[in-house]
Amino acid sequence: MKGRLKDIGIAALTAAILFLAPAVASAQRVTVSGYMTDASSGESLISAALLEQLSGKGTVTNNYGFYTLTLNKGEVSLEYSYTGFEPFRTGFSLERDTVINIALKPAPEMLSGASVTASRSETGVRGTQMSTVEIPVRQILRVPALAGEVDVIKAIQLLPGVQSGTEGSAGLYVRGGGPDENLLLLDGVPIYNVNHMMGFFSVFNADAIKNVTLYKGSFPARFGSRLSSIVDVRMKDGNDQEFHGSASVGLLSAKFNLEGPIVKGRTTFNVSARRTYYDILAQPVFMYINRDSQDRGMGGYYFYDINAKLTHRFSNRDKLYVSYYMGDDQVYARVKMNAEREKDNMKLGWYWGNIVGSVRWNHLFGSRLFVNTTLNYTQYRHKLDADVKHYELQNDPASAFSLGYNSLINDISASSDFEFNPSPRHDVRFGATFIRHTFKPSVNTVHYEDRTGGMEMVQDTTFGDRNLYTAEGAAYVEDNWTAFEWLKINGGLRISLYSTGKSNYFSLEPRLGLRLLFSEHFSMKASYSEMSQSVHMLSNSNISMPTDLWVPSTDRIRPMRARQAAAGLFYELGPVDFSLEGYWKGMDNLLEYRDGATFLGSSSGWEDKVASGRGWAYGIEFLVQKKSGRFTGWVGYTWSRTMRLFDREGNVINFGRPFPAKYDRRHDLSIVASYEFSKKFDLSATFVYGTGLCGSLALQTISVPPGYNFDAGSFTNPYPVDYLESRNNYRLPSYQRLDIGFNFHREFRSGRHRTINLSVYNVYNRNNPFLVYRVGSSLKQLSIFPIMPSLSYTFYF
Amino acid sequence: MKKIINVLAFLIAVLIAASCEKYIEFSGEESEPRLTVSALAKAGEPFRAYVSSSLFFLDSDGIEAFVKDLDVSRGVVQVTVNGESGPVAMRCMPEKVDGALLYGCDYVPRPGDRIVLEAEFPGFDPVRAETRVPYPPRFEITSLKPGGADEDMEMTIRLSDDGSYEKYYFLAPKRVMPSPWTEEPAEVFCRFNSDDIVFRNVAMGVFEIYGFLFGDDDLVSCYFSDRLIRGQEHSMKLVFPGVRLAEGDRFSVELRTVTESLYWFDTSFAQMRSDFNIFAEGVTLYSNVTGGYGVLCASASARIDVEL
Repeated sequence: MKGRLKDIGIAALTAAILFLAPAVASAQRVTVSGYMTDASSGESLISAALLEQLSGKGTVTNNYGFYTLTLNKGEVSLEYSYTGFEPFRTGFSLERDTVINIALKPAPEMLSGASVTASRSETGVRGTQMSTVEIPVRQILRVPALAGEVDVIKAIQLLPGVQSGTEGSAGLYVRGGGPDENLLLLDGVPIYNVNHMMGFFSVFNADAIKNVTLYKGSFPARFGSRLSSIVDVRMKDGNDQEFHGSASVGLLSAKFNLEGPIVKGRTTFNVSARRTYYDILAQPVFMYINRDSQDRGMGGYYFYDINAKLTHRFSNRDKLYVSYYMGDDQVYARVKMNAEREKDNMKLGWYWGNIVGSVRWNHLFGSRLFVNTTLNYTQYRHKLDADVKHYELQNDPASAFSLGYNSLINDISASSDFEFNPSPRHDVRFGATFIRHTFKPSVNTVHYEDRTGGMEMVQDTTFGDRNLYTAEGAAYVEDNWTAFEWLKINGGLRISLYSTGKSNYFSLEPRLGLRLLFSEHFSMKASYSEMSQSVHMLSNSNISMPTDLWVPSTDRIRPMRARQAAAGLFYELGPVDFSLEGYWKGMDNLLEYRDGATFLGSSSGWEDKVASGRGWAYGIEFLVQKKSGRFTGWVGYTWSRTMRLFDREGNVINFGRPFPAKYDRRHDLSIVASYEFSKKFDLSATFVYGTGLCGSLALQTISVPPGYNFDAGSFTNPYPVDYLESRNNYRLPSYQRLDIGFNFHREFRSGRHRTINLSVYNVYNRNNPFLVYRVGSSLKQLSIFPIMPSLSYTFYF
Repeated sequence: MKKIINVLAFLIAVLIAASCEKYIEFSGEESEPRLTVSALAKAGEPFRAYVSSSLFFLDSDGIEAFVKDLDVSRGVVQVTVNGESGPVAMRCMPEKVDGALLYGCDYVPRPGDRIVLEAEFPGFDPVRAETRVPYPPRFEITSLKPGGADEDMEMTIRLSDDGSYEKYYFLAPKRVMPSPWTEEPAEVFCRFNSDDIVFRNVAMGVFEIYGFLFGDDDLVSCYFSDRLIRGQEHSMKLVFPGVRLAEGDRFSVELRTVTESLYWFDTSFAQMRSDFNIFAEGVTLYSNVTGGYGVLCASASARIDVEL
């Protein structure tokens, strides 16, 4: 009995130790947390690094500049760093949970290459994140731009694994994915149409942007709903100490940016706006054309966008962000025809654009649990109006005809994202999101009235596709686990449910990334991720058109799915980062147009015009990048292959044989370089080369004899037919281009300064293919952007 | 200085003006002309084949160009049936056909025959194609509602699919009417529609073309595969909008079993002919001829005539 009691006692003691050990250990751990900001502007720093030098443990700030690091009690030596900023070091005895808000000073000496602190960003050698690139905004601002208009998407197109569409297009084709497979987030809110001017410019105004991160694989579980990439664009919060701004005038557009404190150190704002003025410049041309005529005609095109953001800090634990974006493209024409006894007025308008808004609340529970709760609204609309009025003897309209076309998609969503740092080895994130989609694929309105001949007739008709309402919910959990100093694992799971019509689609998306650290500067990473996507964009061309139609998955069209595996080597040599990655991606339920199908002029019955099939892509990407110093830039090279296979019952394309995707491009090379000669002058250059895109071109003409065409076997005359052997059988000529940009800076005694930018796009006037078509027995190529010099003047105050 | 600026401005203007559109050399792998051989083997009818050459698309020059490089005296076209007793030479027929040479022989295809067609002409790669003549379908009309004042004509057909291999069918219901011009009655295609599962497989081009011609999605004839009904006895209901049969009216239903090659060739050809839009995806015409172009295909027909 005594022995038994002894056994029970030992067991109880063991159990107590097992239960209490974590608590005791937990008692030994304390957390350092806080925000890291730019001392000159108060802007939060994203992906800035904190390293505890004695233990080697570290973390990076999140999208709101917040960090949290759990450490053992005792002496610590902390180093806060961010590329381009002076590092801050501090050492002390850490005894309790501590909040340290750090404002890092910009380091001008770093720009001259004096010293560089390697970033511990999750995308670098030491992090688990691969297939991800952070582009410093100041690097984007230096990239020579088309018509002098700096563009985030154009800069992203220069990265390995990312391909552009046709000349000038802002479409992104990431690792074999289509342009609709990218989730473009502006302050966390999806934007459906990121293009202005048919895709030649994107909606992202570089003046309003703080940070850009591209994920093309190894997706963390917190991201979902697109197959191929996440482009996370963060807007500036605004300077919390003093007012600053800039105004810029270029050949194409004018823009301004204003930021500053509403309540110093607490409430800030940032507003940017831009507008093109080709339509205004064109007015004298119309006046000249109309000079000798009674008739009047005029028209134009312009786009504008407005970004605004308001940030309020209630306390060190609570922050509120309100973001807003609105942008529109408008094409218009007005014609007045005046005769002696009658006149006609015609108006045409074509409008498309986005409205995006979000309210976010950051809250810190204790020192280890950070919560971001967001309410989002995003809308993309497309509208076409035509109005014709006929007057007789200056009376009321004798007859009038108007036609309207409306297409719209809007989402309302809510999400909560948690970041929890339970121990020095675990960074846990979890959260949930809910989205309500409303699709209005196309609604047509027709109004007709006729009051001629003493009669009166009025007709109003509305017809088109019915509205579609779908819902999407997702929950995720991920843990960035430092198993050993040399082994770090990011594991996660995302569960999503998509509900449409009578169908519910459930998706389980595992994510895994791991990093093996061979030395301080050399690591290997591997990842696997699965993604699903429930919205599709239907488009017939390689350029982005406002008529591109966003449609949901339905009872017949299943959500798209993708699996991607990647592995890579990462190496740091001083300020230069090298990476070599290989990937394989399998995709399912992709949509392609059936042979002969087109959406031009009709969006109804779209489900019958597409087929659903599979695709796969694989490739190797090489990137060498230097982010700091006088000389910055990168060289990116991609070798890739992208194929499609549509061989399922009722969904056969190309007779069930594989064919290359339109944007299959074997070689893709980008070189981006920028050199700061002095504080007054810097020079940048970009060179791109890419294998030509694919297209379908009938290379032979054959004589189809009479006998067995569909009309039940009756013989007709021989029929010469252009014979297309397979879809996308022809490769357009290769694409190459050199751009250069010169920036002349001058600083005034008042502290204000100005920059004059001179850019030359396509320096050696290469005729790159935009479209290749047949004219009789010849081939013709249309190129749209020859050598294009541009000039802009920006004044900073 | 002003002169230099003017010269530079002029040069840039010339560059801009000259660089937008230009003729280009074809930069792809230039495909050589190939033999195009096409033949439809119909059970019970003499076998015929059409031979021509393809033309590089930038060299197309009139319908005669399709045969001008074919040396008939040295060309060989032959057919082998079931691998028996060697190939049978086909002869160039005297009938003039624009854009092709017509070859014929005494062979009359029978259901189950395996046909190999080969052709060889000087200056061209030899070509070869193979097909098997299908058996006629087994079907019956199980019900017929002739239609009335407020009712459309309805017909139910029961198809017995033996499931032995993947089959393709062609359906063409016709109304048989007296002809004002000949003593023989005229057969007129009859529009129909159906919600039956087999018609989900119909290639889009066929719907499109009839939709375009008749302003709706009704069919007048169509192809379908047996993938969803393989090995089953399947009944399908057809509705004939606007058709009302009266006493003495005649109606016929023709159902053919066709080869996969004919199914794909015909549907892709129909799509190609309906391709009116320059923004539409290009249409790929089916071919099963190795070394060249064209199609070798076969069909076997069964027909039921109804007289009220």
